[in-house]
Amino acid sequence: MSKQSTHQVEQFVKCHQGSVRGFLSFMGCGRDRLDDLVQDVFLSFLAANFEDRGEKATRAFLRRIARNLYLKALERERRQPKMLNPELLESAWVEFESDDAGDGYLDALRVCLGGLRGRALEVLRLRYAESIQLIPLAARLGLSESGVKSILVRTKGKLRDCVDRRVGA
Amino acid sequence: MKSSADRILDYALGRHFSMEPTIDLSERIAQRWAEGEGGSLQPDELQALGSSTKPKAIRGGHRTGLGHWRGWILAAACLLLLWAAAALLPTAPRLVSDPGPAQPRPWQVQLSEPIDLYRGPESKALRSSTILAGDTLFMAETSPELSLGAGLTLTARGPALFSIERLHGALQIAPLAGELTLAGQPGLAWALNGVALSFEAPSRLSLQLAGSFSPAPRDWTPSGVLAFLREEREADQALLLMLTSGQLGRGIGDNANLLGTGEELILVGGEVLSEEVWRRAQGLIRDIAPSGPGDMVAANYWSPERAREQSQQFAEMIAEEPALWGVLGAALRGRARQGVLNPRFAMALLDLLIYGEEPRAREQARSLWMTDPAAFNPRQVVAMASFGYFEFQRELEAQWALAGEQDWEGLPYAIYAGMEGDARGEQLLDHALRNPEERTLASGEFGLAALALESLGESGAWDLVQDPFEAAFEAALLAGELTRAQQVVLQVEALAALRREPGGKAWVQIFRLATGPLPTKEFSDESSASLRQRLDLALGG
Repeated sequence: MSKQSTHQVEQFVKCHQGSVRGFLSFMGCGRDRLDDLVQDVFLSFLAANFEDRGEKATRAFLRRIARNLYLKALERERRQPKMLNPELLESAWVEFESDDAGDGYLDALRVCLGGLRGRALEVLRLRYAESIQLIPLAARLGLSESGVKSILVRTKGKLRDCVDRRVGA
Repeated sequence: MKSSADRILDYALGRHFSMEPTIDLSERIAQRWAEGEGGSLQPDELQALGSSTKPKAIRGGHRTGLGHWRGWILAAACLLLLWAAAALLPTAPRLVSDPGPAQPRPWQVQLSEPIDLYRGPESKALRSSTILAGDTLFMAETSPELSLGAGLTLTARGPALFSIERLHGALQIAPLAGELTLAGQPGLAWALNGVALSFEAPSRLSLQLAGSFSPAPRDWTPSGVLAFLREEREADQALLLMLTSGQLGRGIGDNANLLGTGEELILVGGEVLSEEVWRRAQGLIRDIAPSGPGDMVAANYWSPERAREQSQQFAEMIAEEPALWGVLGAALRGRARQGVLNPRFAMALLDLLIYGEEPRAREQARSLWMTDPAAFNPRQVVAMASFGYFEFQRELEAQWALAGEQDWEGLPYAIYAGMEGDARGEQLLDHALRNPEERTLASGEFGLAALALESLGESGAWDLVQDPFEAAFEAALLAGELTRAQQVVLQVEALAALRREPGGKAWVQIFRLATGPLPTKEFSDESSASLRQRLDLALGG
């Protein structure tokens, strides 16, 4: 992207910001710094004078920048990244995004979630929609912490199998 | 640490449930770019990341002299700060992905044996190579055994910690500065097939023996192996390790492909018990592999019936020597850790461990739970919970919370809860009773559902099971399947006995009846008297 107009930059960011934001979240980046990092990623990308070699290469380069900036941010804070091998993570992300920005996976997940009922669904909703930690969540449902943990593990196991079947089908 | 698949699911769930609107940053970024701002990465960093052309040293859409100098001054200041930080914190950990200069390569591996090590599944074999921090080397599965007696030399160009980890505890941890040659002890061959050499960091090298590390007998004939076992201390453990590594299989007749099945357990029992049992074990191997190596143990071999038969034979052998329950538990856990525990064999064996009368057997099942909970089916979880094991009760509680109203998988939990007076599963129990599918009928859950409902106050529940059992019995007789007919009768008798004397944990035996071999003990009962009479007639009694 050389000699970009403001409009071109805006269009470019609109096109890729979801992917960059998602990738950073997936790597473990918290909401508190997510927006700053996304901006930094795009500004670094623009400064890199990256030669356009197609969508795939552009996304890959954006991911490399994002990963690097995130790790640097952690390093500045003297925090160890809580992540698997970054290359493994990235390849999992690429598989998730596929050609549809992850919509296929999310659609499958939606269907699988539709099959859940009762307490399992409630636990998931409280955990992910309201970000309630395990101990208060257990207290709210009148369960033990380990009980909630078991429900989460089992439910997610079922969901993963269900999504894998649907995505693979 | 979560797997990448778990993290993807976490992310997707977060995205699915998230109520927060996503902020569009495009205008803001375009504005910052237009004002001459760039990202925090330096041009050389960007180039290292793969920018195909030279990154702009001057950032921003509108270049000015001020912007140019500001960029360089900032870059210089950053470099100075980094240098100062590095000087102050010489031991600060560096992230692997930091795009700094390549680290010096501190390790040299020299292979004095003609064995192939690979950096990865598709890379070329190394004969002598320098190892990067973070490298893991693999030995091809087809490689011959690496005899450390001949030597594998690891050379460090600096002080480091060297460790060998083996299957059962640490073998050696030694500080290393300079060169270390691993050498076998005289008279012992060291099996290293499947080994992974892991070089984790410049300051630490670990050699992990993933599969096996065991002394082996010199004489591979059965009598030689037996002599070795009798002489060696911890012979049972050594034998387990040999079996795990496939050495014993090779030794007794090129049956190395028996790995991953349950024969080794039978062999363990046979080895330590008597030559008679050993001969039986050999017979089993010949039965499986009559024509030498190859794909001898196909997945189909482990049919549920075959798995039951094998596990039953093993149980008979081990009954003669109960101390071997511990050996069995260790073998199960070891194979589960390696991910090679055959699920059908494990399921059949767990049935025996759980539904039998031997508390030590249940303890082995319990210990496997810590390693491989996926090996357990719902009935086994329920049975273990009924014996009072708290971890299974916790699991049961969680599973019961997950089960849907029409979820057949939740039926064992509903039965358990119903018998404990919890009416939440009433609908599921009722559903099961009114839909006596073949699977539910045979599994024992059908009759137990009736008893659970009856204990919840449904007085007519027991009557509902009579016709389906009668029909199943008739169908089995008509088809000439007398064993199945006998199983139906035994089920009815056992259920009736349980109905007469509720409470206790006797109902677990219903599961046993459904999964294991038919018991010799029979439960006489008036309600099944006519079935028993007809069965006896059919059996020619």
